[in-house]
Amino acid sequence: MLSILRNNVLTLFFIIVLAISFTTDAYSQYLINLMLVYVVVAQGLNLILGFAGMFAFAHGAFMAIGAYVSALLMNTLGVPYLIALPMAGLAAAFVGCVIGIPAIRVSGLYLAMVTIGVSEIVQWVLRHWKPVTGGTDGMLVASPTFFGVEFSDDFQSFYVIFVVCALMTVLAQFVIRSRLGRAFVAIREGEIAAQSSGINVARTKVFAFAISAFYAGIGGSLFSLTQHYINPENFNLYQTIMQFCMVIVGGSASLIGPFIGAVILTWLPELLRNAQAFQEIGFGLLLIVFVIFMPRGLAGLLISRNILPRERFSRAARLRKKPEASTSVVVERP
Amino acid sequence: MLDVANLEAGYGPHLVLKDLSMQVPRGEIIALLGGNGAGKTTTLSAIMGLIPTRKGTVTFDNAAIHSKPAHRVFSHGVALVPQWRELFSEMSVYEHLELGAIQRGNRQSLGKRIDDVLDHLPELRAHLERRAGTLSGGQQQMVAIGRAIASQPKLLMLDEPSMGLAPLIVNELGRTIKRLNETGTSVLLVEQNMHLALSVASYVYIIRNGTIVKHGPTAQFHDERELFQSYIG
Repeated sequence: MLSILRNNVLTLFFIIVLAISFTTDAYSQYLINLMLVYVVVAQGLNLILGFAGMFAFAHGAFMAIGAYVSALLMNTLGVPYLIALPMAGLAAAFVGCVIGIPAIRVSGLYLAMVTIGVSEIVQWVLRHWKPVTGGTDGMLVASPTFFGVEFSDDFQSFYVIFVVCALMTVLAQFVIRSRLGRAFVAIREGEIAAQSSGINVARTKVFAFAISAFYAGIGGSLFSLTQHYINPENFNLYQTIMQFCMVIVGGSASLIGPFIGAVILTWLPELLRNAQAFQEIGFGLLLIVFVIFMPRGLAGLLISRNILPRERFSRAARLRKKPEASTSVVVERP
Repeated sequence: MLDVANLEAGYGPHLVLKDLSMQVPRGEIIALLGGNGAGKTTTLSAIMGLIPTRKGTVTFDNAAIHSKPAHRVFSHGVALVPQWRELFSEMSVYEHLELGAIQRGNRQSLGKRIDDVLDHLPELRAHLERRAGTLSGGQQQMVAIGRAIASQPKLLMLDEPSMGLAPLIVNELGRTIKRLNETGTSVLLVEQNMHLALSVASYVYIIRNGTIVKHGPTAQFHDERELFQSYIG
């Protein structure tokens, strides 16, 4: 029984969230929706930061692109949300590719600086392209309609967000266990070995940018559903830092990590609502503590204690062990 | 099969390889020997496309590969086992083999190719689910070789595979290299361990200061002391 639970933690998470949503009040429902949105965004950041090992800090910007693209498509062109949502992800992925191609020439701190620069440029555009984005006034977001029913409140939006979050989780698992996921981990752990193993490092890095931006774009669009109104302040550097905290605290390079991070960092500010000033200090302290003492986050700790299973990078469910007399001598090093 | 002619390569302004020429015929094990800083690893890096070449040519199966990036060289059938193995510590042994196997060839034959690797390296069977970072040095070397041969390369390049291994494991490594060669894989072995190199190679090149200073069939190098003198000049 424990083993089944251990191997299906994410399924359990979705069942619990679904069960809670039937009994909760409107404000808690809003927070649950926001948490699921952050799960999607943090999963995207985890793909590039945790699995591929690239310090990209433009996720607030990618999220903004997703939010504004879907809002504009619905508000001005009357595009149904079922089309606006993937378009939001694709628009962010396209920008991710455009940024990724030059950005892969740098790494580490320099990549972080380049992507922070991109975030600031996107912020500037959102503030100053007033006829399209509404500038600092922001814009209202139309409620989506499915089969003639308007999903205007948080209880209705939950079903959209829940389904999309589940699908994005399945996609993330698919990516990690695919050839691309192994390539991400390979370039993180050693580019020379990755290249020597036939991996096109430049192309893999651009894919990492595009996929993680796709997640942020979808997350941005879902975020706009929870807020009904968006403005540039929603997607500033603070937003990026919060997502970074979710990945680091939850656990990078683990599919479960973003879930843990999103749960903690969505509910923690609520607990600290009466101590606003402490929120940012609290995030900063949390980051410092985890980076120094627990670099693989809470998920890493639980995996090392064998409470959670190790991440798999293969779709092979069970390995074949053919008992065979060894023709070689294996001597353990002292 | 592999023909390196008048190769020049280096890092930044520093030229390491100067007018280096060597050949690896099909089905042979060729050893490249030299001291520290002689240019052995740089030679493999230049052939593999990990560093750009400045002059000269590298042809493999009559195709010029000297201006191609590493993943393209790999797709021609050249695999490199880097110095110190360079394993991906988070991945299991099986995942390493799958990573190597999937880069060349189709998914349908993946299982068979991994089985072939395990037939060559049967000691890995017992450790398929273990993370590479938790294995001993000898086992890690076998995983690195397994990852490389899973792609069924025509030419396998090994960069000092005996480094840091106990003598008994080095002997086993030599037998593994010979077994691989018997299945048709050509091998370019870079080594400082003269005993290992001379026990498996059919032809030896000596490199010093980025240039081949001596070469010939292994039988010519039976005196290890004389060989060592060639290393240091």
